[in-house]
Amino acid sequence: MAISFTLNGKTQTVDVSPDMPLLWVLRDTLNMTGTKFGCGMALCGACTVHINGEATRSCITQIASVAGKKVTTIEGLSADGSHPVQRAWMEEDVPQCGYCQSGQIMSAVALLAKKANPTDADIDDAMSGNICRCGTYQRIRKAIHTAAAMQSGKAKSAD
Amino acid sequence: MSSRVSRRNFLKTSTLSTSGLILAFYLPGRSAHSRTATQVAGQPFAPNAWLEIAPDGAVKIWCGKSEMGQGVRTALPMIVAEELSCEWKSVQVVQADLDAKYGEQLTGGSLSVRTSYSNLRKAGAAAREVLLSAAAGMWGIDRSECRVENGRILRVKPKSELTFSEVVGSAAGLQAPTDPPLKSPADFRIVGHAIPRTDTPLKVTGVAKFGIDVRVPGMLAASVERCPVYGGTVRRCNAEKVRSLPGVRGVIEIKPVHLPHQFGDKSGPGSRNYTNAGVAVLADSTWEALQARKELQVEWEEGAFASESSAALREQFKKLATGPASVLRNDGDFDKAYDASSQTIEAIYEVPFLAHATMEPMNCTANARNGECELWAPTQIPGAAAESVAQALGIPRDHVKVHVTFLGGGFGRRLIQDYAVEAALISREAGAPVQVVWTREDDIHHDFYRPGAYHVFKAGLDGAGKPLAWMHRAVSPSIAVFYSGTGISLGAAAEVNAPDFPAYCVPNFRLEFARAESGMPLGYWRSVENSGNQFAISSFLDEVAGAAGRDPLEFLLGVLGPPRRIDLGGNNGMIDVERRRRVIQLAAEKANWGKALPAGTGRGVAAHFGYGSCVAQVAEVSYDSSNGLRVKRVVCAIDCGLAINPGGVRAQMESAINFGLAATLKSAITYDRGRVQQSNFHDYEVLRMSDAPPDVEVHIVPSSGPPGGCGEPGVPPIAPAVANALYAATGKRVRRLPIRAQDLRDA
Repeated sequence: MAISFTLNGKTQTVDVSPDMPLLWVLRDTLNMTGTKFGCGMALCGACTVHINGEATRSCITQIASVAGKKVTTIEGLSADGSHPVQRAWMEEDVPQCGYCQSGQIMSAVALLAKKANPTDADIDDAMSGNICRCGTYQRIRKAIHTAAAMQSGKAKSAD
Repeated sequence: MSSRVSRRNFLKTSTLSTSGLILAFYLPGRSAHSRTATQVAGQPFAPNAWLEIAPDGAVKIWCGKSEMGQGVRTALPMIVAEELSCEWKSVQVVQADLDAKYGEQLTGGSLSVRTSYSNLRKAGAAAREVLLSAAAGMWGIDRSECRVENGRILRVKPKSELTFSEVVGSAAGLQAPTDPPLKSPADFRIVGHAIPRTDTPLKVTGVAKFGIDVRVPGMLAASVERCPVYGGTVRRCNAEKVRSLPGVRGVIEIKPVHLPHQFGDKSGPGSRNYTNAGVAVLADSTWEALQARKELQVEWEEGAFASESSAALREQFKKLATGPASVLRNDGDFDKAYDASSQTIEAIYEVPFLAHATMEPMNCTANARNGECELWAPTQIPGAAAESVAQALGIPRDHVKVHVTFLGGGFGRRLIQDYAVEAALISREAGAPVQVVWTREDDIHHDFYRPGAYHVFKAGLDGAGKPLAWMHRAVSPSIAVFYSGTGISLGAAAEVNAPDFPAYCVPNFRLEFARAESGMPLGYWRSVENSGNQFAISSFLDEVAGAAGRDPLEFLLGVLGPPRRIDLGGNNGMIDVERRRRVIQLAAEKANWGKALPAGTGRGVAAHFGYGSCVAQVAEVSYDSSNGLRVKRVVCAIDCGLAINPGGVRAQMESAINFGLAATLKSAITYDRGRVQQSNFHDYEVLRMSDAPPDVEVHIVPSSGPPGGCGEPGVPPIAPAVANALYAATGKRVRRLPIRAQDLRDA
């Protein structure tokens, strides 16, 4: 069955089983391996993408439900790592093994879109679905605050 | 301490412990890799296996160890770049495939920097000397009249300079020295500085390729249904039916394979390191393979382990705690001193089995054809992957090629090469490249677990509250016996170590080990036996301090004893009591030990000495009935000798603390009827953002001593530091991990 959706700004049409999770469409059908498989049960957050701007666990999102929607993956945040959240992640040198970080970043971007200056409690709420076994949580928290500052700085200068 | 390095599993074989032998691998000019005689203008300058300088001056440095988050892809090239004296920004890091020219590529034991430091310095220095000679030749001067700095060769009189790119062409014909002079650490511009990771840009853009991201033309995906009971086999399955389903490219049974010992030791009689029996379903994509696997119906011959449970093992532990045991250390006369003590304390501590739960589940890609096999593996030991696969396929080891990808976490799980053997066997049978992806359930069910353990302690104090007598009996299954068999020595089998603190500090000291029999597959979990032992030892020490009515910090510092160095001889290293004292005092000072805290809040201290480093941690926790236990702050001090990359050392300590906190607060593996009862992150809980202490500080003791390990020593202290802090906050002593809410409610 042919299903069309927008992926990182471009239309994609895939011919797969309608119940195939978006995660596997991305990774195997489209060879976009930036989005990761960690648990298959929406418990770990490694598969987090945006669907119409909302942070979504792609491992349990059937591709049929994505028809006509806008999907953004880690690859679509920027062409060159220049998204403020990516820059903040670089400034704080957040990743260790890095496997969870695509999901962490996507969750963080979605948080900042809703709350430009999140509190630590906001961060806990938004980010506790993203597991990091290497323990980069303190740096993630700091990077989110740094990104918030970068983004509000940008907003100010645009006025 | 480095005695751990030589005694425990990694450095039993002399090849790993003798730097002279490792040196031999890299020696420039020794092999075909030097290319000095046949170099053509316009080719890169490649004096040895570790680096290449392109005609434009760009520097490529190979990383010979597996990057699993610990930062070797930054720290190791920093060492080469430092001696080479290039500009750090001109360096591009390349992951080394398996190749003898890179020496030992085993990554683990907190050994990468320790065992590479000297060789990598010489590799960079040799190249630097050649560039100097080339420049001197171009100037027509003596080598002593110029020096290399920051990517330039500088001539003093008259003042002039040449860039690397200007010199590379002339360098090609020159022989690299075998024992080049090394820089004085006072001149270091790269080593010792907090350099950002080289792989961060790849990891924030989704570009970094992990094992699971490998794509090989014609690759099939495989998902394997493994026997739920370790050691069981396939009795029958509906392979024919599943084979006929649309999209299924094959159904292949894999029989268990006895793995060769991953460290090159012997896997003698009684060793149980086997791969799992299973049935693999192959399809064009991972999802299709996962779906088709659900149609499999397998009957298993479960085997003996099906009669075992972790509850029954605990009963075995309790029996072994009281019967005879093997004595590993016996200083003075414990029984006599204990009986003569003014005050005695006893306690029992327990820790569960643990899974590694790397974020990237196990996987491997293999292409096994025509007596050869190519592997793409997120492996901690590419050499063992090759050896294991060679044996399983019955082909020569040098017919196996191994590409090492990024690892989405290792923690010791990827030391075991079962995932590589499975992929190779399936690929050969399928006649195609195959990627085997484990589900999270597969990963939690088929781990090689950190063993559960049961610790019995007795201590006696004199009238002044000084410890006179200390007895520790550890009861657990033996990891070493699992891999090496029952013929190994007691010392090798024991899951406690004779030189561990408080050895050398309490005059009447007895250490015992009783080995429990268990069918559980066992493995190395970040800091191995220390992960559970230090919880027990440092918590009990805290209890003894409490019994003596003394401040735990003051008591711990007192037990260390007077300033002295104890030479453990041979490869075992030196105990420097002042190093230990300084790191504890630093952590305590930065944590404001002694400063008043609000009610319901407390501080606890613990230290671990091992892997060539000393680490002390002070945890600050709060407990109340509505919020439960909250870890608010951890202050960590580390003496790791020379810190190659202080930024990386800090990251490793943060990592170890959070990783250890998961075991302290959340995680446990149990089994019943031989089946692991946990399956995913809902029942094998790990640390999440909301549990992570908001305030983690790391202080590095300035040192120019030989670099010590950083990957593991930060893990052991956190559990006891938290347990001790909880006691300080509430008066409640926890003796089992993980610390559960119901244990605290009964306070």
